[in-house]
Amino acid sequence: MPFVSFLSGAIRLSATFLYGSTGEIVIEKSGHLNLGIPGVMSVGAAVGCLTVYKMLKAKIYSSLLLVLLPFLTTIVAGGFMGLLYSFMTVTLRANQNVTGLALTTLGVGLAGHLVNGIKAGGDIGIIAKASQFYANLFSVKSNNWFVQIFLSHGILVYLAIIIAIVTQVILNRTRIGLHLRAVGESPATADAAGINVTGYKYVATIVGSAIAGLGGLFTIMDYMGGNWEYVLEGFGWLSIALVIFTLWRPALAIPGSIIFGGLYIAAGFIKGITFAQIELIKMLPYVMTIVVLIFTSIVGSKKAQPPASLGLNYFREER
Amino acid sequence: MLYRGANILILDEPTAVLTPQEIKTLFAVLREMKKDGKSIVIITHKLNEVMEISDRVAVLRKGEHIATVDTKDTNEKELADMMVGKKLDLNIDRKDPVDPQPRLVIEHMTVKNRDGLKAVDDVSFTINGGEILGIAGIAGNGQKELLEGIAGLQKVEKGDIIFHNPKENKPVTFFHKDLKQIKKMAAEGKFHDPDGKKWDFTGLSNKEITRLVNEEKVLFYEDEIIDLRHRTPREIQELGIKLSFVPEDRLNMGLVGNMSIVDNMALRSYRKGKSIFVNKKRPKTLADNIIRELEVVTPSDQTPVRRLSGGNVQKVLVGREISSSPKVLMAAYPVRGLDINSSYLIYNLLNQQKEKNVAVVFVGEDLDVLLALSDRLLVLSGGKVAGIVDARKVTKEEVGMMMLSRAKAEDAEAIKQMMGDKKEDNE
Amino acid sequence: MNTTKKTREPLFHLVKRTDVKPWLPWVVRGVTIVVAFLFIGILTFASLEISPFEVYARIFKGAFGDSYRVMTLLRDVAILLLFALAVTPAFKMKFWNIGAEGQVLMGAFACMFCIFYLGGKVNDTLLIFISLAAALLVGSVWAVIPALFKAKWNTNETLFTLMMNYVAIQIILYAIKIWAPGGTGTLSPSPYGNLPTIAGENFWFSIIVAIVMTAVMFIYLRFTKHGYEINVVGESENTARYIGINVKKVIIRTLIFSGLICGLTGFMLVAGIDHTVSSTTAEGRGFTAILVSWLAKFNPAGMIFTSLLVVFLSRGMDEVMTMNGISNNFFSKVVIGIMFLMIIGCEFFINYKIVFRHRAKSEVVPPAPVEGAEKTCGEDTSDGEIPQATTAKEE
Repeated sequence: MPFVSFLSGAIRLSATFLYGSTGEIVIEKSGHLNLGIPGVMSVGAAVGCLTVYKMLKAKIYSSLLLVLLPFLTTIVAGGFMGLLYSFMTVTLRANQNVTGLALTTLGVGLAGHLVNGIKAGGDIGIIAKASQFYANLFSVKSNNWFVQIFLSHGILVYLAIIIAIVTQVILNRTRIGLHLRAVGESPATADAAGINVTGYKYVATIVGSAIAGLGGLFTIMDYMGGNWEYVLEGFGWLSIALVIFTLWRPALAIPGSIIFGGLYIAAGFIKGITFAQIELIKMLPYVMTIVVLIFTSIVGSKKAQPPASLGLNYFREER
Repeated sequence: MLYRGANILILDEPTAVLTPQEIKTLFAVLREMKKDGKSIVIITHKLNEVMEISDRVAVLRKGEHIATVDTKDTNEKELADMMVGKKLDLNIDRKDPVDPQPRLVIEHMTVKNRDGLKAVDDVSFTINGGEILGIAGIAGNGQKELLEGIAGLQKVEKGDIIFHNPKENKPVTFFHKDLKQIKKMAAEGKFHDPDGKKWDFTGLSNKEITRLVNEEKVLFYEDEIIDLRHRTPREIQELGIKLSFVPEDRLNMGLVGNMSIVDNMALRSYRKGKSIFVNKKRPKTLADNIIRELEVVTPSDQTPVRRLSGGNVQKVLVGREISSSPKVLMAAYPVRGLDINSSYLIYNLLNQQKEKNVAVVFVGEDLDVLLALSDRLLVLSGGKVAGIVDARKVTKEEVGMMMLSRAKAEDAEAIKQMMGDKKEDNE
Repeated sequence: MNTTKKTREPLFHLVKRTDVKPWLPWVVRGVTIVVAFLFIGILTFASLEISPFEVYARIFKGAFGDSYRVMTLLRDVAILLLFALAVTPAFKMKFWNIGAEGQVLMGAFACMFCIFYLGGKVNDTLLIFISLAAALLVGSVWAVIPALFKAKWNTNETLFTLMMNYVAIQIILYAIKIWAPGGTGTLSPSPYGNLPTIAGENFWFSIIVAIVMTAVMFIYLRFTKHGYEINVVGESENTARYIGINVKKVIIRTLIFSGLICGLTGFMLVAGIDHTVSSTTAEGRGFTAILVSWLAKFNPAGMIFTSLLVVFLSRGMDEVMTMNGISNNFFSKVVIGIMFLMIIGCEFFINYKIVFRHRAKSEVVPPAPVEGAEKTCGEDTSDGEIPQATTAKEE
């Protein structure tokens, strides 16, 4: 049934946005708006794919390793991009928006360059072989609709959901999460209370970027079936939009990313629309985000607000 | 703090928001802690408190340590001299107001704060021209909302703000008024000719009326009465009401920190003139005058104001507000954080304005200064007027009582207790 | 029991510079650019095994090789400059409009719309004016929509404008599919409604328009009353309200102006250069322009140089890549990204200086009468140590 494959497809794609937005939520909770996420996701994906490629070239075919090792390298790559961002904005006190945009430029370029290095090598196509591991480990195949929708996904999809839930719990129920939120709301107060503001910002950004990088790896190796397409930049921006959509709550990001996934693939499932009208349907995720933006700003409830110091760098001397 | 078993207590300006009675209590507690062997460091600029409570005093100036002395070996004047580095004259010269006339009449004003609670609650009082009205009260009792409500920066829920523009027997002009308004006001009987007869303008052509106005033959009968209640700051300016306001937040409200002194001078006057360009010549002259007359320490008039020290920032701000020859000057905590020299300069400026028949409103936190500078003193407590008294006659303790008048019953009991003790001490 | 504690100043601490000599920022930036170039040379050598000297030579050749290249370089500079000018007034007001990409695209779309439906049916010169008017109108509408919401409900403009970009892209993709039904997804250039060429080439118009607009923007921001208000609102919104500036009106007015310039840029791209429109007409310059404008500290005169720098680098690097058989612009992006990051980062050294510890201090603490005394208050000072409550935290 088309509905089943629609829902299943939406859930599958949702992992991309879930990784991206969960990562960005963590970063934004520390008070930093990282507009470099598209670049981070691209670099994460590129490094991961590069790892897969090198492993396949070295004739390593173990399915577990082909997932695990790139997983690790992607995390490191994403974390490194996060380190770069936090060095610029926390230590060098650079403007966050501009740094993020520069980072996106760098990341997208770097990713494309790395992938081209592989393409030049000749057989990038072999990565596709590995993608089946991503898509099939831990997944159950059957004709039953429930299984198809919920249980037939690759491991990284489930991992995304787990990460989102864990993040929500840490943010709201642990002392670390409390400290992080304090840093994002009022760094001066957190500082006076003895919380290491700089440390929290660095760690939050590195961890958040690592998570986002995983989103890149997932998108290419699972969703795209191992074919490199230049979609990560657009997905990155949508992830940032999703953060607003879900009011900075990772738990809400789970249904939110499914909605986004659904909207993004909706065009392919609606019958009887023209080739041209597909383009209008593709507008939907963006339009939905605008609607949510407007709605939340009109309603203006206190719970729906971003962390108070979002976008502002903290200078202790100017307290 | 004390619950955590601290052995070293550092207090930064602890008495800024306390009444005299609360300060007494605090000092008593601190003496007990001293007996317990705790170490206490108090940072304060109030020399009388230093003399009262401390054993030793360390004086800092510009980040450098000047000296540490035993309190019993020094006095306030010596300390002040060490703080500033030169000899100072610490007198506020308070003259009696000459024929004060009502300038601003506040009637039953109510302002709500962001949470919807009444920050200013049914407040009524009059500010006279040629006098300084001090406003005392614990910080956060409505002072900010009161001044901002008058200035048009905050919405006034209820009440009226009646401005008496002193115009009696002054000529009518076309600044801030056009021909239509003038004719309307004449019909209401607001003008007279130099002999005293009311102007009617019936039968006169527009050209005639214009000529008479320009030749200054049309005079105001009495002060112009204008209600400021629903006006925005821009409307207040356009009505020709010269209301100047020195806000508490200097660099983020009164001035633009990143702009130069000259550009800040242009803030009030940039819209003048029909050209699309901003006239920078007059602001530059103004800036240079202020720098010279108020001895503002600055590399040049192009320096961004945030680079100036606190005292100089305030001189620039107050200088600008005074330069427009206001009829009402409101200043919120104008000497907070300022060094002694600059503080006394500001007091002198306020006194000068008083002598020019300006109605001056001074919101302050240092009761001693308020009592020395103001002619009348209004005490705000919980957003209400707790009392309006003659500053020359009232005592600090009476003011303290008024500041607390909205305090809870238990505190009031405790205060009465202390007042009882104090009377015994004083004998 | 004697407790000996060493109190040492941290190894270095940061001091905000208070007296900045006017030449300092430029020296620092200049040094940074030189260092960045060196770094790029090394990087290119390391990853692509091209000698740095060859790289530099190729960069210059790619940018300035012959007169045709120089002119197209200047033309690209002009267009990027127009983008940067468009975003500047909003940014000066701290209104983060990252929607220039979409606003220019919509201007281009409006222009193409007129050309497509009126081309050949109306007098061509008239068509040029009609499409210009349409571009200006649509561009400013696209820009003012987020502004209206920001003014009324304080809606976040960064994300609003960002989303509007993608909506614009989709609108164009839709339109192209209708206009070019063949399904190729590209619209062939139209012979109608084109700006006349000067001396047979299409770059002069762009260059002239860009120079004029730069002058206009410079004067507008620095000398006019509108510009003054933009400055005040951007630097301190509180002060703007205190003075009586109607902040909402200023936001809307400024974004209309921004949108007009975006519309103009879209018009230049379609009627002047490409004669067609596609989803990549703007080529991401809407984002690069933000960096170009920011790096020039929102000074239109400075933007001439920053946009020149960017175009020079990217065309130069493209040449390097092409000569080595690589036909994409990813490495250029890397290079430009690194350059941006370094220049952004060097601002730090302009604003702060690093002061190194010059001597280690130690004090012997007399036995504390009460257990648990953590540090000295340093009150008996004879060596000028400043008693500060925050010293302990300053590591």
